This record gives sequence, structure tokens and C-alpha cells, in this order.
Amino acid sequence: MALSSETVVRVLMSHRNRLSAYIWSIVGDAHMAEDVFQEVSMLAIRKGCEVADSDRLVVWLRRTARLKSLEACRKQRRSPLIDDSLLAEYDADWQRYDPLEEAELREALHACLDGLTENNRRIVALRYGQGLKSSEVANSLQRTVAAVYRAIGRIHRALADCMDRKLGREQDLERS
Amino acid sequence: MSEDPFQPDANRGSGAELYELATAYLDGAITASDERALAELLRSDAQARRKFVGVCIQAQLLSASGVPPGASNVGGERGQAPPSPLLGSPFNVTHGLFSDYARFSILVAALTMGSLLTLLGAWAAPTFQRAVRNETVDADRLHSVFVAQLVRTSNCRWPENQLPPLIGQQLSGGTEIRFLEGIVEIHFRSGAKVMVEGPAELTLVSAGEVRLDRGRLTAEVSDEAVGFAVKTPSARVVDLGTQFSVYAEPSGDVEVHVYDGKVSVAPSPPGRNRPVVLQRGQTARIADGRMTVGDTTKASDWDADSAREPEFARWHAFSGSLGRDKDVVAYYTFERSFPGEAHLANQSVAGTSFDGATHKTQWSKGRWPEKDSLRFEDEAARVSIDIPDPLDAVTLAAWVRLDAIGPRPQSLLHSDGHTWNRVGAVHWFVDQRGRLCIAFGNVAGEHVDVRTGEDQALVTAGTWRHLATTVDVASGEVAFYIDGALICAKTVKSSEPLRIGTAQLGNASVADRRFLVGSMDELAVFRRALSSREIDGIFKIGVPKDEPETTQEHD
Repeated sequence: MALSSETVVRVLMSHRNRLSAYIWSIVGDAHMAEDVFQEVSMLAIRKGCEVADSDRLVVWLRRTARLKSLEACRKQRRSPLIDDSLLAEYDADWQRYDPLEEAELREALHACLDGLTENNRRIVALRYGQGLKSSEVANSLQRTVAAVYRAIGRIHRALADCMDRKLGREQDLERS
Repeated sequence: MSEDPFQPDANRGSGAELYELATAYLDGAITASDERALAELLRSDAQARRKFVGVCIQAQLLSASGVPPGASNVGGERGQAPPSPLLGSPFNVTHGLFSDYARFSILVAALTMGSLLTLLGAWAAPTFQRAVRNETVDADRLHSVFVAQLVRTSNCRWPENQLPPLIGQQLSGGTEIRFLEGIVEIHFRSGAKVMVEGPAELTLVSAGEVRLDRGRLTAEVSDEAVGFAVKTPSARVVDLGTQFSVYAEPSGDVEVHVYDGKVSVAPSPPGRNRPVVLQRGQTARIADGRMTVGDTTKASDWDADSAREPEFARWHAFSGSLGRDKDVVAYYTFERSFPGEAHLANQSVAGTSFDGATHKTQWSKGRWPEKDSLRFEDEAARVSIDIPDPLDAVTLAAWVRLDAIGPRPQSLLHSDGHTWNRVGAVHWFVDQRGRLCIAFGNVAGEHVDVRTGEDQALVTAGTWRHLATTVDVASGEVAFYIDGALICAKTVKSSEPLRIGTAQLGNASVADRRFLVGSMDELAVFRRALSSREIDGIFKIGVPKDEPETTQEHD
């Protein structure tokens, strides 16, 4: 049975951040990723009803996002980071997040942000809150870009450890 | 983690490398050799790949967290976690390219293109209920297709059991609309544009007909929509190419005023009067089955108030045309649809700009009692906007009331980042001496800063002032206007196209305290330098004759 338009939008909205993150991870450029996301959203609204059920729609969305991301890379004459041969495994890595609600992810992230030091929170606020490039964060804080990458990398690592704990995925990660 | 976030790792390990490389990659600034290293890590190490996925999700969620509450709720997601202290900090507004808010705008854009009209109707079903009163609406004429679109609402109060409607909502034949006060603008597919003032009850019969049971409706009918009809309990008004208004009183009496062109008015049911054709300036009143025709120029014939076109309505009509102007890339009228609305609707249909996201601002009465403005008092108060269009020329025009001049510059509009390190970035502001100023990033490293002179008119505090600045990039001409009058014109070195991009209204993303203290009411960005006559025209149609007292309302 085909999906209703309402279901398509609900699934799209409930996976929007993961879908955007997936596209961003392939194209490596925030602006390009936003364009691709728009394209995928429009396609979903036009054609998503043809998919049999919600679970398959999630898979369809990711596959469409992958195709559109690769297409965007080709147009920009840019090699995608993820090799074609790895895409199936790569998709499986993303599928691990499918059962989670985005609200769960967000709650875990917010809770983990509270555990950061004031300085680290400030860096996150500059980079992601204000959308500054790392070079601009570096200018603002009078540090080198490499130092900012190092700091943000460390923050991501701390947040990843914390989120895994919050989401109870430590063991899951070890097992997989 | 160490208190110093920049301290080098004594023992980095491959895990640290993955996170650093991922950070650089998502920044869009990774070097070719680092990208190869990252690709190799992802290819060879499944654990690294999973960590990379986690970083991408984190980055996306962090970028998207500055969500206007209304937008995310309308999008259908409920029960969202409250923002963390970090995300509520002055640093964190909706700047992320992947904000939920931006995505909501995209989705709404998609919906309004007609792809998911049924769904949209379902979302807003409590607001616009399908008519069931078949005895009053000819069922044969109810179309199942969408006949009109809700274009805007202003200061509307809806019945308690109804949710506010969505701007851009498609409306099907038979849709019944009721509201207690305010103004609703609807565009019919036939080409007729109507503005209805509440309290009102109306039913959309078809693309060419509306039934008005109560309220005041003003119609502007294009040539292709000739024949557009307004049916009331006591008359049927058919347009013959014109602008007219119909007032359906609660008593059932009806008044028709013709501003331009002509209309046909037929009493309903047909009684002692035959249909008449009214010309420009004529009016008709149908009461107790009798129709009398008069002339709006004769005040004694009619209630003077109802015949007078209020200045606010005149501005509102002009505002609608401004929103449709192809040269307007962003147009914020500062009108909200419901009390706590957290986004600032962009009324421009031509540009690609998004709605604005308000942060720590307060809705307040605007320069007319009928409309709103946004009040900026908090140091972090701002509206985040995004105007991606590159501009070879620009006009920035806004109504602003500053509480005081100085002690620091006050930003009206500020592109994110510094103007001296982003080509095309724009900073429009009033400096500490009351001079109207604009700065923009020229070719890399150059910063152009133009200000009115101290011996020229200055921006003063305490009253609504209309401020405008034009820049023509090719010629380098910059002109400043206050209250429609040209204050000064200067020529600067020509520049690259201006790119406002993500920006703040009433504040600046740079950490040097350029926040505005006062109120803003209407801001337009044009893709060309308007003439002094045009700017004077905008000022004159928008200037309030009697400025209302400021009555603040907190969100």
C-alpha cells in the first residue's frame, strides 16, 4: 500500500537532521549539502508516496540522498570522500541510527554539552551556533586554525563518548 | 578534558586524528592530503567510519539547534527537548545552514507549490473548516480543487478552538473562514486578490466567487479575473474590472464602494431593484431589500468613516505590491500571525531569502496601532535572516525608532562575520553620533565605510524614522536618506557584488556590542538602487500621521 503524503512529510521531518548529516558527510560542503537536501525533499514530496512503507521510505530517502550527493559532487568536479565500493557499508553505519528518534539524539547531545567546559562551549557556539568557519573562530580567538581543529575534534570526541553512554550504545558499538 | 581547549595532546593516537580530520572536512576547508588521509581511514577502519558518522550527526544537530519554536512545531515534530544552556546563549541563534527553521521554510515552499496540498489542508483543518451549510452555498459550485491561497494575516484573532492558519496555505472550494479581528489577504487562482477585515465570516465558493456573510472585503481584480463575484446575504456583486469593497454588516445590510473601474450589484433575492452598474466613486447600500446608490464624494450620504480609506489600509495595499515587486529580495513587514510568533515572515515573493528567526526580541505596537514592530532591548536581541542573492546594487530601507543615540554604534543589519574579511558582507548601522552608515567588504582585505556627515541631518532618537541607503556597486555611488529626504551621496571605490548572506537585524555577530536599543517596523531590501523619488514615495505612504504610544507586549 502506498504511503500518504502526510506520512511522507512526517518521515522526512523526523529524519531531516540525519539525512542532512548524511549528505553533508558525502559532499563535504555545507552549502552544497543544503541544496542537495532541498532537492531530496522535493523528490520525496513528489515521489515518496510510491514507496511501500515508512521503513522503506527511510532507506529510499538515504539512497536518493546518496545519488543526489554524488551527482552534486560530479557537477562540481569533486571526488566524493566515500569511495563507491564502501557506500553499502557506509549506509549500514548510518542505518544504526535509524531506530532512534531525533529528539533522543538531541536530548543526549544537549545533556552532553552541559558537561563541556565553558571554553569548549564557547568554541561550539562560535563554530556551530554562529556558523563561523574554523578559520573565523581562529581569528576571533586569536588561535591557529590547526589549534581550532584540534580543539573541535576533541570536543566531538568527548561528545561522542558521552552520547554513546547516554544512548546506551557503548556495548552496541563494541559488538558491531 | 583539559581546561585549555587548545593545549596539544601529549598522546594523540589515531582516534584524535579521525576527529580532527572530520572537523576540517565538515568545515569545507580540508587540504587534499588530509582528505586522502581521512578517506583512507574510513576505508580501512570500520570503527573510524562509525565515529565519523557520529561526528556528522553531532555537527548537524549543533548547527540546527537554534530552532524557532513555532517553526519546529508547525513542522509536525512535538515534544522537542528544551534547549541546553549553551544553545540559549547569546552566541547561539539560528545561524546554521541546516537550521530546522530553514528546512521548515523549504518544506513550506514545497508545500505551497502545490505538491502536498491535501496534507497542508489536513494540518490546518481546525482553522479552516469545510463548509457544511449547503443551504447557503450552492454545492454544485464547490470545487474539490484548490481555488485560492492564504497570502498573509495581520493582527488576527481566531476563535479559541482554532489554530492560526499557515501563511501560504492552499484553500479549496468550500473552505469557510472565520476570524474575530485583524486582516486576512487571499489570492484567488482567477487572479482576484482580496483583503478581508474582521470580524469576518466568508466561504470560498470557487476561484471566481466568494461568499461574504460578515466583514469588510476589498478586492483588486485583474483583467483576467473580470467576473469575480462577491455574494452576500442581500446582494451579489460582480466585478467588471476594478477595485472595490463590500461591507457585509452583521444586520445583513451591505455597502459596496467602487474605487476604480465598475461593478454590477444585484440585490439578492431580486426584489424591487434591478441590478445596477456602479462606476468609480459610486456606492450602493442594500438594506431591507432596497438599494440606494450614492457617491463617496458626498460624505452626507454615507458614514464618513467607512468611506474614508485609512492610511494603514493604504500602506497595507502598497505593502502587498512591494512584496510582489521583482526587485525586492527580502521584505519583512513585522506583522505576526499569533502572539508568541518567533519568526519574522519574509513577504517577498521574488527573492530566495528566508524568513527571519527572532531571538530575545519582544513584539510591540508598531508605528500604527494596527500593526506590530519588534523591540530590541536585550544585548542579545536579534533577528537572524538569510539573503543569499548576490546584489550588484542594493537599497536598504527600514522604519526604526531608537531609544537613544550612542554610546556605541547600533546595527540595523549586519552580515555575519566581519566586513573586512568577507567580500560583499554588509554592515548598515547608526553610529554613536547619529550618523547613518554603511560598510561593506570590498576585494579581500578592503573595508569600505561610508557615513553621512556630522553637519548633515542625523538620526534622532525617540520617534519613528525612515532610514534608507542605496549602493550601486558598479558606479560606487552610495546615498543616504532619512524620512525620504536625500541626506548625502558619496562615491566610493567600486566593489564586488554585495552578499548579505546570513545576517542579523538589530545586532551583529561580531563580539563588539553593536546591538540596537529601540524598535524596528518594516525592512525592505531591493536589488537595485531606488531613486530619491521612489524612496520619498515609500516614506510618504508609510509615515504615520499620529504616532501611537508604545505599548509593549512580552512574548
